[in-house]
Amino acid sequence: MHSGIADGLTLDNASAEYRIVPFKVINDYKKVIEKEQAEMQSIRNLLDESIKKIEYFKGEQAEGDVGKALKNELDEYKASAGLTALEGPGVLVILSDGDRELIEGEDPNNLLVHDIDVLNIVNDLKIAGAEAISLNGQRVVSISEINCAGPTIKINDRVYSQPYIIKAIGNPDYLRAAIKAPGTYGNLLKQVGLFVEANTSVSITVPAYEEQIDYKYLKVDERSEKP
Amino acid sequence: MNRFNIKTNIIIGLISVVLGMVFSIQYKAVNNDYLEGLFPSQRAIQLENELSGAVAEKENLQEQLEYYENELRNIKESESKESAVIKSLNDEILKYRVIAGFEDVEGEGIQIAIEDPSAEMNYSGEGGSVIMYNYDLLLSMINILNAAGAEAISVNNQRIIAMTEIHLAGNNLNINNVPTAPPFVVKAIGNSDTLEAALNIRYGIVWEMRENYNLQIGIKKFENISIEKYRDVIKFRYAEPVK
Repeated sequence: MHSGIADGLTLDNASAEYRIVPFKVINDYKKVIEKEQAEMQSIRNLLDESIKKIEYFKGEQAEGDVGKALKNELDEYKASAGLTALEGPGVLVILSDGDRELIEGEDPNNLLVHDIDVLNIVNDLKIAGAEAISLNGQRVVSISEINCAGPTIKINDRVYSQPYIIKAIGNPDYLRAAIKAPGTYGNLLKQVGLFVEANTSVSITVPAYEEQIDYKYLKVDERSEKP
Repeated sequence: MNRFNIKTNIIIGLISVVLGMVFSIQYKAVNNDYLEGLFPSQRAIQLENELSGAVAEKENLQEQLEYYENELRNIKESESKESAVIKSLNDEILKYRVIAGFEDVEGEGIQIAIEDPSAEMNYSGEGGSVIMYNYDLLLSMINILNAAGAEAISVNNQRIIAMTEIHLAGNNLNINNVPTAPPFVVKAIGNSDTLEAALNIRYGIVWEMRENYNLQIGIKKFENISIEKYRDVIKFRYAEPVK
């Protein structure tokens, strides 16, 4: 009986298709395929958008009003860049240092808000689909830095004091859950003893990014094609 | 009665010992074999085919996209030639496309490569990725680069825009909804000396990543580094411009 099983194994191994590969190889393949599929979806979105735009532009061209179409496009890009004030349903998060007594020998740092806490909360809101976020009245854009130094916070080169007020526009329930649901970073901070509150609202206003953007080092890559 | 009890107890004891050993062997086997277990290569061949199919389809879509983008560009350029107003509008659009991250850009900058600890330094256990599970180190690094005046940043060719999230979803670290995996390559455009100094400062982020997480970090300065554009459509479902 034993030799039977052994024969079976040898036979299996002899044919190339039945050779054995480590699970890691399978896992790596799956990851690359997932990445390709995600990128494909993005290209499809861009493709649909381009086709829609061409029709729109041709329509406006026929009416001799390409300027109007271009102005619309300009407004869209401005909004995407964070240079337009936006409003919509969302959530208002308040974050500040904890006011409970320290346990004997406890590090007071445990009860203070740090950069990384704010970064994690903002990131969690983005994961939950936030479309626009502000921190103490400053719009969070791609080049925003958040710097908590003791009692103050610096964002977009302006200094504010506690509490930290984060506003986000998006699905209010998702955004609230991203801060308050068990296991989230916000919930963890609350358990440690910091003050964390998240309230939904039917209308949140997030201001535009106000700083001047002047690039000193960055140039548009001329080799790339521009629509 | 007593004898019976002792005998039963011994038997139950023996069974427990054997069961315990079986459990522990099983547990160890499962633990070790995660990522080391074996699969028939047929499955790998299937996946290989699936992958090449996906790559071909993506290339095809990319070609279509370039065709339509070209057509749109032609429409705009033909109008630009006829009217100075249209031309200035087009220039303005380009300016905001750059700020929003819709353009490939280049300039002086640095590149940071982040790799998981080497096998003998990896204390995190079975095949887990330290940098993926501690992705807030990436958030922190991006924040420090911004504070040092970075003008554009990407992580594994995913452009960091206002809405970019970094999301640990199962076994993947999603950036802009695209799965990424270590090693992570962070690129930033800006004053390369300032950017490097901000990262390398004593007890700073690079120190923390090396000392506390055993991550392998390499920083290179470049006179010219390219950063890819954001490749998706931004659509607001909830937000509207303030009237």
